[in-house]
Amino acid sequence: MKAVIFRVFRFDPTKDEKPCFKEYEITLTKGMTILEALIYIKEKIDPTLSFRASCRMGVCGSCAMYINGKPRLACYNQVEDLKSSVVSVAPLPNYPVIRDLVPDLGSLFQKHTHIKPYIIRPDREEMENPTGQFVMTPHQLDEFIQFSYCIKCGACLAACPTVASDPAFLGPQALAQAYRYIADVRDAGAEIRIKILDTAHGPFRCHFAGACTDACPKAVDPALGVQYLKKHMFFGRKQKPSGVKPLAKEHVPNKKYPAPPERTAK
Amino acid sequence: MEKGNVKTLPRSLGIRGWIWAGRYGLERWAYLFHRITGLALIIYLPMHLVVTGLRLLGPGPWEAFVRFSHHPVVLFFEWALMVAFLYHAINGFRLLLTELFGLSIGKPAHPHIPPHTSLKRQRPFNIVLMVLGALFIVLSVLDFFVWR
Amino acid sequence: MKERHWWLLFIIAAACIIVTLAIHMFLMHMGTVLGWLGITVSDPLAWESTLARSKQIGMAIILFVLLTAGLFHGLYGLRGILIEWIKNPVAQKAITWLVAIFGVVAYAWGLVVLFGVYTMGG
Repeated sequence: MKAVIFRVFRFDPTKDEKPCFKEYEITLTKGMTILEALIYIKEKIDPTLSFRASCRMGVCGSCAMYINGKPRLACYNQVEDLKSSVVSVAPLPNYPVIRDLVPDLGSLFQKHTHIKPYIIRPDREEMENPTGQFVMTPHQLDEFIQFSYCIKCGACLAACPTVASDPAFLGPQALAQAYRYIADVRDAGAEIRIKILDTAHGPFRCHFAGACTDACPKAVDPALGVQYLKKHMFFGRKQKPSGVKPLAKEHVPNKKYPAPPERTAK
Repeated sequence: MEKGNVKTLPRSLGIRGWIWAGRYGLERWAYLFHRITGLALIIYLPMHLVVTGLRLLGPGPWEAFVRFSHHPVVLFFEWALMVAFLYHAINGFRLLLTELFGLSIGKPAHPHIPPHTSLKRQRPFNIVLMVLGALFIVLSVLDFFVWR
Repeated sequence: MKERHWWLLFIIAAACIIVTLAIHMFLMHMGTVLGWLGITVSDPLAWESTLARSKQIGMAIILFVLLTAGLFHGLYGLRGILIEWIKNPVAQKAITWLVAIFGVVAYAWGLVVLFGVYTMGG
């Protein structure tokens, strides 16, 4: 079968001052994914190669890498589909590199946490001890469900031209998730989130280049979320169809919760 | 850069990340040209305000400037500015409709593989506007250089 | 004024500019195309022609709108680009203020020219 050259970004912080690219020649097997090729390199050629991978089926988001000029999931793309005899594999850009193909995704998670990615409601007692279900029609679900498919792989921030130069920009993932919660009929935190978003580095530094949507492996289409978020900040309805009114402040309970039960497995 | 006790290598694309639109779609290149034309226009504007202010000094200095502007190189730059305005206005019109009103990008729905993304949905609208822009640019070439 | 209000003004200014700058550009440079629409402008850059045009109230209003919207839109966009580029938060605030001050100065100059030519004798 075909032989393909893999040019892999290598950087060892304990030894190297600068990164370099090392070449490995792989004989393809049918249906071989880029992740399988990297695992082959690690097992048979160079055990010092480091990369993240877990589910190997495109649901965990661990193996996002910069492959032939585009952020992709290594497990979700076959080498043959790249139609190239040289495959260049590098860590995701716009994140610092810890080692080889492993990026430091701290900024991604910190920006995500910043926009309060959870349902905010006034009736905390009902949320803790529900007496019924929160009713949501299929149409109401459709308004945000695609954004909830995000696997936090980080490819969209790697693709975004604004994230490339502006570290304070929240990025397509956080902004699309902010819209996911604002559009959710159960959520009352729209005003709280808009206060967080309405800064010089919020959704208005997005210029709809759409690279995030191109890069997203799960068809989340974050660009759509950001544009709807901008629209919502001017034309959004205040009260949700379910009757939930927006909260001005997040209610933080001051009752102490009981400690978690003792671990039985030691 | 230290993080805890782990040394990390910075890897931001920086301004290269604006410029190299690589393997992404048409809209990513549209963003790049929108930025370039916008910078060209805002750099030109203060100069234009100063130059048109020459009229306050009477016909003499103004006519001297007009003679200067007939020079072929200056004419070429004026045409380039016209193209920059045409591109920026037409692409900007598309951005106005999609960013503020959410027109042509479709509604959120269940995800679909292959994805029906917002970019694919607004692509026909984008193409129509690009054709319109090309038409105006051709007209501008004619009006600036051929029909003078 | 929050960021989203400035951005909305930026968009409204863009809409104004598309109309007014198109009129201005076409009048100045696209004589043949205007001819097809039935508008004849002979030698738009000549002294008499530009003076006569600048003294018409309609043209003066169009140019006033263009000046206001154009400076605001362009400088807000420039400020956006600069704060994406420059990372220090203090520097970003300084840039916002500098761009605003430059805008006010340029606007004042533009108004002086606009009004000066409008009221010019001859």
